[in-house]
Amino acid sequence: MKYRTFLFAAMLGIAAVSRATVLTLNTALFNKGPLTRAEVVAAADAEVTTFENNAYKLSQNAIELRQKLGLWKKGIPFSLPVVVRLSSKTGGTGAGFGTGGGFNHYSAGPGGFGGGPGGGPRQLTSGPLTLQFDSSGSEAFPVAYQQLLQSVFNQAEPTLNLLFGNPAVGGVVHVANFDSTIGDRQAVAGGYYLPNNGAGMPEIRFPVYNANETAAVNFIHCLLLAYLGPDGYSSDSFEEGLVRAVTMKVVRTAGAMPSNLDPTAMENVLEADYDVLGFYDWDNQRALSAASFIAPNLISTPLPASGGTGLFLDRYIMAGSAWAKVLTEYPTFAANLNQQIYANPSLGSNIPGLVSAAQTILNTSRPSAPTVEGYPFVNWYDRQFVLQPTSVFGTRLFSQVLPISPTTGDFAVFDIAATLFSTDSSGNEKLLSSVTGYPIFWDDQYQRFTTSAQDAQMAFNNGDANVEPNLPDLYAGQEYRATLDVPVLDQVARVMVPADGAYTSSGTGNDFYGTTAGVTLNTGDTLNVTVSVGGTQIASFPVVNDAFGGTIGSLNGYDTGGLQITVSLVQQSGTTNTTLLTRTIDKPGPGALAVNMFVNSEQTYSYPNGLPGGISMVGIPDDPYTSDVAAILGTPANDTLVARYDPSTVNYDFYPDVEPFEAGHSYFVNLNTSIPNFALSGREQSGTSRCVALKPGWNMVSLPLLQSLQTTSVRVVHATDFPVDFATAEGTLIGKDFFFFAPGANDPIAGTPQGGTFKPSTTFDPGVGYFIEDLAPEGVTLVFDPGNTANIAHPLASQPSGWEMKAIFTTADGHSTEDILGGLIGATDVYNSSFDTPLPPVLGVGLQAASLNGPTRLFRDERSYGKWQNFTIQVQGLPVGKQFTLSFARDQGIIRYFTVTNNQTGQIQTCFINSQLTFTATAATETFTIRAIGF
Amino acid sequence: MKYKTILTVCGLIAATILLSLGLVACGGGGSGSSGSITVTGIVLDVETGAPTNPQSSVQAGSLSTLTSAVDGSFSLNVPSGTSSLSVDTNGPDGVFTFAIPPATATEDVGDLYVGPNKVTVTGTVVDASNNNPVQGATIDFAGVLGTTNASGNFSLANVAYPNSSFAAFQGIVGSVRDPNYFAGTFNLSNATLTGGSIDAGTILLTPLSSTTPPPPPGDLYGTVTPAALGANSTVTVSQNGTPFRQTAADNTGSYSFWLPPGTYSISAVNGTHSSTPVNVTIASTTDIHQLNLTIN
Repeated sequence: MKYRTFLFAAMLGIAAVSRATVLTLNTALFNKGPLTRAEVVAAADAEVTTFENNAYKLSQNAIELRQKLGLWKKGIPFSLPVVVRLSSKTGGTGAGFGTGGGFNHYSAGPGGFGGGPGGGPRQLTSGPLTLQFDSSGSEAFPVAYQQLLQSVFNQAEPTLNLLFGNPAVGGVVHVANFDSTIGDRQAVAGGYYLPNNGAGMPEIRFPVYNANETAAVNFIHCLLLAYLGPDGYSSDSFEEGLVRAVTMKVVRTAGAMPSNLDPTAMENVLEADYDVLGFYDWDNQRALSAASFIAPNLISTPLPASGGTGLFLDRYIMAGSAWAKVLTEYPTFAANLNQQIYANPSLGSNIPGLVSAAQTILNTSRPSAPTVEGYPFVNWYDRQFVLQPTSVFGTRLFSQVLPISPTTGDFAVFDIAATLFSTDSSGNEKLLSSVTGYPIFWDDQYQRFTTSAQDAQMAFNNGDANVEPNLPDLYAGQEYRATLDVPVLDQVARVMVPADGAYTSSGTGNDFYGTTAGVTLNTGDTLNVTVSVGGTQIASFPVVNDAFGGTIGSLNGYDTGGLQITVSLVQQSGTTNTTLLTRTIDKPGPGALAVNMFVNSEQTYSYPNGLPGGISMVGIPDDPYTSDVAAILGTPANDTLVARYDPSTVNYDFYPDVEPFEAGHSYFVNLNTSIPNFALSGREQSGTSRCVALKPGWNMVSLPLLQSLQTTSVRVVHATDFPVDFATAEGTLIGKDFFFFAPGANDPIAGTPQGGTFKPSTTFDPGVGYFIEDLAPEGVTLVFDPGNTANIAHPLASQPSGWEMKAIFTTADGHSTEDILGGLIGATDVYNSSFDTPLPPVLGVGLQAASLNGPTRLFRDERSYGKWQNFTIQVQGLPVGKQFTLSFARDQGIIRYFTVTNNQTGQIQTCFINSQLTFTATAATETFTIRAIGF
Repeated sequence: MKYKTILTVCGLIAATILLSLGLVACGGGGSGSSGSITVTGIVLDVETGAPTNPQSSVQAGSLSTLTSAVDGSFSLNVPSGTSSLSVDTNGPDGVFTFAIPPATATEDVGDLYVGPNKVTVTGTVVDASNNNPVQGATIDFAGVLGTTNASGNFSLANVAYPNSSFAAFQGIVGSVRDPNYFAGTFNLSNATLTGGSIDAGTILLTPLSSTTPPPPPGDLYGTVTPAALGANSTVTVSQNGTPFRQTAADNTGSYSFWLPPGTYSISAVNGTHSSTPVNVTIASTTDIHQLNLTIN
């Protein structure tokens, strides 16, 4: 949409000239005496409007006349009055100024200035569009194709007007054959429209499609863009989304399309390029968010030879499908919203204003229940990732799951098509290659199962990879929920699908199916899903192993769609029925419907202590609705200090280049002031195991769940291997320890911590960020198993025998640091990465204790078992002149007594595990020697 | 992906036929058991991704064995130090020679692909953290080994390439190894054959990580010198003449701040010694500056 920005700037540049011209038109006005500025501007507006409308009519008449006479040839200027437009409203002045004699009343000819969205009320007349085709030349279509396009418009125009409103600006639209030059992606998307083609003409640029039905459907799409004229929406999510939703509705309206076109073929076009059909729940993923659906650098880039289209088409399809839901409930929604931006063009780039306007339309259209799928508009909007016009930076992964029509012997075959790409701060996208992912298939108990070797890995090239697993018959024909996780780099895309009996009955695919999560049943309880239309229950299906499915057919028009259904999850305990969840779902189109019935899937996590001022490491436990990090923190975008470490570049990514907050990841945040009551609302897959993918090196992660977990509830998956216990993976697949960040003392000037230290952790707590090291070149995946997940097997890891104790230093202001000292069978007196853990560096002001083992500073210092060991502990960051304590805690084994030597004074004290020694720091750095043995 | 299933079935059928004809494990020339080192691997047809049909002969000097008709695997005892194997497809695809790491112990050479054509695979290996070329990295694609030069470039000659069915070739995952980096992978599923050569493009290698987590982020960092005065010196950032942040340099004189965009003055002090204040402008939240200070 940058051309619009340019035109707008151009208009501002000539506004003064135009106004001077206008003010000479009605001198009588000034004879009244002194006028206020507002009166002058209002008078000018009135004059200009009259002038403008007359000019417009004159233009139209001239064009029509020339067309009738066969005189019209593109590019031949003819003289028309200069068009001037003024606005008295603050916030924008729109004016068109045509020096080259462009015939359109709103934009200008070559070398002139084009009109664009102004901030004031629209004062132009609207009217029908007239299509103009070249009869010869490079932009002319074959005659039959031109006739097809014209016939499509002629037939569809009344329906377009009904569903989308009359055109913003009437007049001639040039339709150009761009078959040889249009970008691959623009052709797949169905052509495009320019309000000004550079020669003063609004123009549809359209390829020549092989099938008439394809051309017809895509031409409806372009016509609707032309209806918006220069006053479109600033984001593709609104403009393309609404246009594509209305395109679907027009094409599916009886009699709206020429009768010589095959309705089935047109439906096929919709289902390939416009409608995600019943799989919206599965594809509603954050990776879709983008300011522009086709990244600027990819507009002219050919599609890869492999045939993969990348993400852009998924965005178009999902945006259209999202708005199609709204149209299912409010058929003239788009027409109503368009009228609002025609009246106030600046609204088109004001997302909060559009959201508010949308709610107003709902209020007016259905006062009794002004909602979409049961939500107020703003809440519904927040839940549709594709509608958020916020570009998502960093590496992103989108995983689209499509069911393959079953044949006899198939229990559930799905195509998992993943797209891996990175977005830079300019919005340019790089489709990633030479990356291998290892999809993980889980049963309903989160035990990994495999299908066949060819589904074991996904090799990405030009951003695309796919597998087609045929999910196994795990329960002798019974339903079960299969979770398909695709971990690639540090991203995980998850879809939960129904398998086996839920998906297919006797080799025939069901037309209604889905999965449940977050339900805990007592013995003897049953779970059912009921489906209702208009208050009438039309089907009920049992939920087995967290999956359900069946066939509804044509009951109440279910098969054809265009209706709203209500799905309820009902638990039956004895004679008591309890509805656990009810979802209202719009089903705009035909075909099967896949539904996620996740109980407690929307949560708000309140950080126990809010977010502190200064630097801290923040974990994200749920999946925030918004991708706008600054909005989440409530900080100005140009003052938002957020960073995440990327081990592959060995550098931090800083906001705004950093990825959006994502469940399972953590981020450094530096706030000027604390946020005492910080809470994060988002999606949560209650009761299911959650995966976090790691890249080789140090990763900033967090617990993607709302309740704390011990490491015994965490498994590690490497490539195609079966999961291993966390302790088993330590030292081989992942580092021996993982760390959280402890902010240091306050910066004496800022009054908030600007540095700190890393401390090892033994648990994962929500909201806390951790650094964990991946040692495997292929990456690994952490699997967090919540407590209420049944039957998670955790093989006991063999823990090395011996003794271990903690030495804990605590200052008077409450800061503390600790070292782990021990003697283990198999350990050595020198550094050994299988047993010992180096200590991370301190940043700025921070308290830190390290056991000195040769040149290595260790947090965990495990020595040979069975002999006395001398540990030299160096403590940094002590407050000079103030007291601090040294205490101890037993980790394992028997430690009867040991000695502590204060190396500053030479004093030796005999201690026991519950001893606590108090010292006064004589320097910021001091050392102590602990001589110990245990059993 | 069902074609793969079909191929597997075909392979099994072929294996069954061969078994019935008594053609399996006939052995090639030589004894096949006189060496002291065992080399194992799998020979696959790049056209199908399946074992070759007929079975191939794997040779090292005068020693040879036939590959398994079922899975293409072979095991051959060779003299210590053996550094190449030749694979005779016993068919129109002819003979392929593979360099292997000099055998000193039991060695699995992985998948060795043979096929109707031979092409050259090229590429460049760079450090992901700075885009500098990685010299001396070992490349393995389809069983053909190579090494990167000072520019990070590699060229693997005589890589098997199919005639008509490219699924198996596109599924081959090449590996890149260097002792200072995590192993990397690449594939050629979308690369184009041009003049007998296929370019794998640029392959990024991630440096091996430190044994400890990286320090927290900062956008203004540097070192205070000389070391004797820089160590543990006090570094102060001011804005419009007013102190804004203050930290202590570490034992090496290094310091770091994470500042919002703005124009600042930074100086270091150690006792009676101080540095000359230096101005720096952080233009945006992604603007990173290194600024070293000297205390006099």
